[in-house]
Amino acid sequence: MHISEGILTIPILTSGAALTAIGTSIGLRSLDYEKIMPVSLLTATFFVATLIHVPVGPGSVHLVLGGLMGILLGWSCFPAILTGLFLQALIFGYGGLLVLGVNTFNMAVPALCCYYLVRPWLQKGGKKQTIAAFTGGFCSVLLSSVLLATTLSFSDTGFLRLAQTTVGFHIPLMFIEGIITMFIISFLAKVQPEFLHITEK
Amino acid sequence: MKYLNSPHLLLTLLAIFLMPTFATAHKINVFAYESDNTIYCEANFSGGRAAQNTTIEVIDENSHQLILTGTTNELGKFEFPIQEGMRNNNTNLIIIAESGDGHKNSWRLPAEEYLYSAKNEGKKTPALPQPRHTATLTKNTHQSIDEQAIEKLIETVIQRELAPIKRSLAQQKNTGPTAKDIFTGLGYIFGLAGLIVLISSKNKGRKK
Repeated sequence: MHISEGILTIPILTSGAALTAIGTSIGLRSLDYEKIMPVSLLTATFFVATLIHVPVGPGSVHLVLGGLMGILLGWSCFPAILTGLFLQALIFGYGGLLVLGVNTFNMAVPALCCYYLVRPWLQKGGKKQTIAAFTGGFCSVLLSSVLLATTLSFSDTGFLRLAQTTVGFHIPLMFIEGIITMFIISFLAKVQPEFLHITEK
Repeated sequence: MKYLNSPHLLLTLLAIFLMPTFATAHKINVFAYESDNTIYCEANFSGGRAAQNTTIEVIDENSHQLILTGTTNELGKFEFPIQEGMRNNNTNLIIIAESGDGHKNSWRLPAEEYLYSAKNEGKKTPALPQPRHTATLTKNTHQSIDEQAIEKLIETVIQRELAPIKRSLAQQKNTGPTAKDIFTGLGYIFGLAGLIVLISSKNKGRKK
């Protein structure tokens, strides 16, 4: 999910950075005093989640938790994901600083889409809430991998071949993230329901 | 926990675990070392899985010219013999691995790290001093051949024994994040949050 340095062209890098800057400024404006700690908590979760390797079949996948970030944070997912990716690039060497804007855009936009797509269902509770949470986790990875293929297709070979590779590779992660998001949202709804409404304050 | 009893969920989980080979990672690692006049390259994803069918490009560090390209096998390995041009020009190599799904990384292999044995291989044994008697010549030639054979044998054994050590040393440079790195990152996040809270509370105080 993290694009490395030296792959994308300058127009893509600058476009990604500009769009991320817009998203981040909107996200920061929506960030009030009460939301700071939940946002930092989820940023820390996002930062660490990428280190969790889930063994699946012969390989392993890495969590992203973009859906969860989007559902819970709304526009604030932009600064949260940007901070997480910045520290990952700086400390772990994942992605890179020049490509930070594009990587943030590729993960934050699907998260935001899930927020608008899933949020109305989430408040209904019960089975609808469970399905909505799963859909959020699933769609976030799906949209991220489609965006990844689109971004790479501007600098590489055809979109279709890339889409087959990136989307195909991420199918298991879509289900895993869907299930994890579903359990986390169900858990929060029971234990800390106010956490689900932090974007409404 | 009632969801765990759902047959649909079990089927989904089963489908996931029976998926054919796939890869998804945050980073590709590549490293290279020399053994017995051959350069061995290995590529793997963060998490340790071998990066199969990954394109490897070998580039001259000074001229930035592409020397050769190749693809890793199912174990994520690619090897090539040291070329004459590399020996003559003392070429520092940049080995680039690109998996085609947005992951790319490189490894620098300086000339002094891989040319030592190659130079020894090409080095001629010093000419023997002209013997005075035929008997001495035969004796010296035999002795020289023996020395050469022994030297070659020792070199081969050392190369063979050193190869895994070189591989291990090269691999160690690509170790994943440590606990220290993780806690550093978490510290930065919560420190930043604390800073924002502090600024926000001061602003609130001023407004009041």
